[in-house]
Amino acid sequence: MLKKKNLFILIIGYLFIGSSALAFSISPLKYSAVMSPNSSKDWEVKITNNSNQASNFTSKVFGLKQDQQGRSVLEKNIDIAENWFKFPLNNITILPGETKTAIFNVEVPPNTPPGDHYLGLTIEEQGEGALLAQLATALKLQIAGEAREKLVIENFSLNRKIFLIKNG
Amino acid sequence: MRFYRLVSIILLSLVYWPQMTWAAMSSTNYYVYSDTLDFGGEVSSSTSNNLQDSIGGDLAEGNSSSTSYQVKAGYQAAEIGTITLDLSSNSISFGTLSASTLVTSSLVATVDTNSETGYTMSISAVSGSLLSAVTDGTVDGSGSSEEYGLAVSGADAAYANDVAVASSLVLASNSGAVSSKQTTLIFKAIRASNTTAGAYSQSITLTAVVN
Repeated sequence: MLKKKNLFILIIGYLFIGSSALAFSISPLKYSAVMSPNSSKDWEVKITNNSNQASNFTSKVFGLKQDQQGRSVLEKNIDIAENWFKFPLNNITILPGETKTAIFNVEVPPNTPPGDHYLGLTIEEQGEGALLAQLATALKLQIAGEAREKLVIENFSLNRKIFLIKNG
Repeated sequence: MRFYRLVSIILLSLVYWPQMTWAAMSSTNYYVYSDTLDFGGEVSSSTSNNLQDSIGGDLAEGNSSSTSYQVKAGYQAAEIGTITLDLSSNSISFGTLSASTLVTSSLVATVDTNSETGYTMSISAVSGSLLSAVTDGTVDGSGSSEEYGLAVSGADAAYANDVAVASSLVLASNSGAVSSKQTTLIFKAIRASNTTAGAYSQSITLTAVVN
């Protein structure tokens, strides 16, 4: 029916049925922890459905970085620790006004080098529309171990001449 | 080694008695997100700074288990508080576009948080494709071209012009606690006369996290 050469070209963007509001909250805001290689731990995030209808929520883990203004930005595949997580309860249905807990299980692999990992434990509301709402609990995960700092002088130069005086 | 076992036994007795649980400790009035075993710490202060420190959180670090109980212990801290995201709609529609006619569709995102470090709202994921992304700061079809972009307005809005919809795009932020802080997201599109006909759609994830 429609052809490119038609005078009236129909371009339909964002055709999704439904416009119900998405509203939920999570707690806590931040976690900070020290873990050893080859250890595991559960993190809990409480979800409250503030909308007037039952909603499904899923959990994911994103890397968490700061931009030049110090603002927190979530992004996938920027931290190897994103792959250490499992989700025992990955699909939760919550009724209006109800609060449930999502569990994030992390297993730090053996031989993981010491260092810091910044992550977002995210809760995403699953809807029928094209816009999805997501909240995150920030997690600073520090892997314990002996830190070996290496400092190498790669180059050294001076703009001034140096005179050495030999005594005697 | 004996000391670690002793600490583990104390932990088992205090925290995981009488049965193993994966849940945090809670009662009718209280909820303990994360517990720790410390033996020291205090509040120190000077003219400019306050410090609340603790000692001993790492003592029982590691996994301990018996037939009935399991402890996954380690130093941890949590900032208790809440963050709420409320979207006025879960979809927007441009309808049928006419050539060289700007079409907009908007929604309101409301954020509440008692975080002392504030929040950032951004786009964490985008899938699908729409018209060509705006590159000159204004979706106006200049040069008879198609353009698609996103503007934001509100006290916390992160930028003032029209920009391309992309992952990691910061939409709004605040450096302190906020109450019902609204940011309007205005999606804009304009098609050219030679734009290929068809249905275009995108899925966008809006995320909020504390700073």
